[in-house]
Amino acid sequence: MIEINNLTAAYGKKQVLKGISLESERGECIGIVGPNGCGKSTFLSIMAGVLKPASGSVYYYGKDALKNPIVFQKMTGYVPQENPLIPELSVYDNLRLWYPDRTELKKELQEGFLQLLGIGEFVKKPVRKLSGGMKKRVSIGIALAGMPPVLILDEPSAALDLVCKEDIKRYLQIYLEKKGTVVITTHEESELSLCDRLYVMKDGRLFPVNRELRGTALTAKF
Amino acid sequence: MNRTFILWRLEGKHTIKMLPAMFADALFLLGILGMVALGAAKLFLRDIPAVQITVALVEEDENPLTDMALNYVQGMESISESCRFLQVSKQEGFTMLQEGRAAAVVLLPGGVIEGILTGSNVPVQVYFPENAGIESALLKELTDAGVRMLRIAQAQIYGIYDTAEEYGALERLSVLETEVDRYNLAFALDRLALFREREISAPGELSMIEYAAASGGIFFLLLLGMACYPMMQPYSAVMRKQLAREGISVCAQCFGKWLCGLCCMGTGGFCFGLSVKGLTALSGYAYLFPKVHGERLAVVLMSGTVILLCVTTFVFLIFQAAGNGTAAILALFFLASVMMYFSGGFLPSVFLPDIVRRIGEILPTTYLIEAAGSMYTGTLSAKTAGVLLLYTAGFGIASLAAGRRMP
Repeated sequence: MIEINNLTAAYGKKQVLKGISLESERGECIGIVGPNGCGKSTFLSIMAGVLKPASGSVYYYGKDALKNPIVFQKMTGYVPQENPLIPELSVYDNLRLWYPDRTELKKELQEGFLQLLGIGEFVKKPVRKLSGGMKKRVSIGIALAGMPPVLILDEPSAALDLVCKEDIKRYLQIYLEKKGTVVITTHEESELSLCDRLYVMKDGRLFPVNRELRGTALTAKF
Repeated sequence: MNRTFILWRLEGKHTIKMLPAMFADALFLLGILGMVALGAAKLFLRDIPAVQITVALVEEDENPLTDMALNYVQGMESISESCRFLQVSKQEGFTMLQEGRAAAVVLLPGGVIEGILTGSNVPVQVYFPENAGIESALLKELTDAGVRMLRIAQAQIYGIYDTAEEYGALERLSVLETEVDRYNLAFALDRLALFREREISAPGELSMIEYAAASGGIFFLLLLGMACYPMMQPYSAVMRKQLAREGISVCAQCFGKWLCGLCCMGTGGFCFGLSVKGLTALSGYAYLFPKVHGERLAVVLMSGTVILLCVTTFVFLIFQAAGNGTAAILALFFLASVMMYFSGGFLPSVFLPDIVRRIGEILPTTYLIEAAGSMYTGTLSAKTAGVLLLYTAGFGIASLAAGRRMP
């Protein structure tokens, strides 16, 4: 379903990703951990079509996304570290941008994923008046516009309180139950517990972590 | 609906929401401009010379009598307001003349005052530069007038003496001289009769107040860009990337923001015009506002459009190049003030140093003030409109380039 081959990326002379390959099946949750600045966000940005790699290929459901960028739009939802919101506009207006169909948006707010995220409670508020947790929920709601089969999240719980972290974990569980695929970078143990497969990124390469040895391997790495 | 149109529609909604805040900011700006205008009015409406002429004085012989006479002349209010005398050596005086630091060099020979008292009249030499500027021309005019006055006065003194001697009335000489002095002061030496009186205006066809209104309007529009920051400032990096991912190009993002800025500036400029019209009408100075009916309406609309396009695109470029709102506001205030100064927006360019004038000639603000002035004269030159449209295109291309270079 997701097929990434020999992905490389560089910022100037600095090689950030050195031939990363990854495969994933439907309904799987893949976690990526690693120290700050190791290239996790760059990797996810390439997976979401925000950045272009120096070389390599990205396939979703057998379609070459790098050759046809619309595949990224259709197949992936991306939650970056910062929230892609216009602060002066209301939550509803921000959602309108990503949900072009007004009827679909209303339906989502009443009985869809947006309702699960609890966005309906503050949909009329301007974004600048929202808490960090609320903004993150709106960001996830935006990423889920059109229900893409792959959800890519870049440290979604960073700088959020415990309740918000638990809420986000719950939403991800529901998404996974609906056979969505999640690729997540995180430092949170609770989110790592969701992952079916875990990778450590180091020196621009991905190293798989054995499920049984997960705790010790991670401890050893950091 | 196409996502790009949704974005533009949302930006439009955003703009409407921000208008009250923008008007509040604009009112604050108007307050500042009002204070500047009041100060400028006090400066311009005073009946004092706008230029002070520097004259190099060279005394060939040190003479206390000459010094006393010079101190007396320099102390006269009418002289001290228009002239600044510097006592220098002969060589230094001519160097100053060559470098344009002095409008004239006056060579005072030894015994000049004694000569006046005895009637021997030792000539005073006055040197002007070959390509005399406005100061030198004015000083030459003043000197010639003074020479004519002295010549008439001396001819009268000799005439009275000869007449009194002829008729044996030398004992009444002092009475006759007093009478002639009275007539001279009352009629013959009326200074205005010796000068050609011609009213000229530094800003050309416009009156000083019209010029101030035109440049004030442009300065207001430029500063209004600061109040438009919520609409004009670029999206956050993450938002830009997300929009691009969804197929909304940098060009479409920029166009939406520029369009909202244009609407804001247009609304702000229109309201500014209306409030100025209202204020001038209420205070009995309605004639100060340009007539906007009949044939003049087309010129006002054309000028307004090119001004609005150019100013909005310029402001947009600053926001794109600066990358964030705060830096853009500071840059805009600084650039607007400097450009207006160079273009003669605060003081007509004829009063500015040559180098400032030359730089001002290539700045868009010069053409913007000209276009604003055309609302009074009723004629917008093709050159002014063309240059402003070229500037608009240039600013637009540069804004796009800046938008593409953002991380």
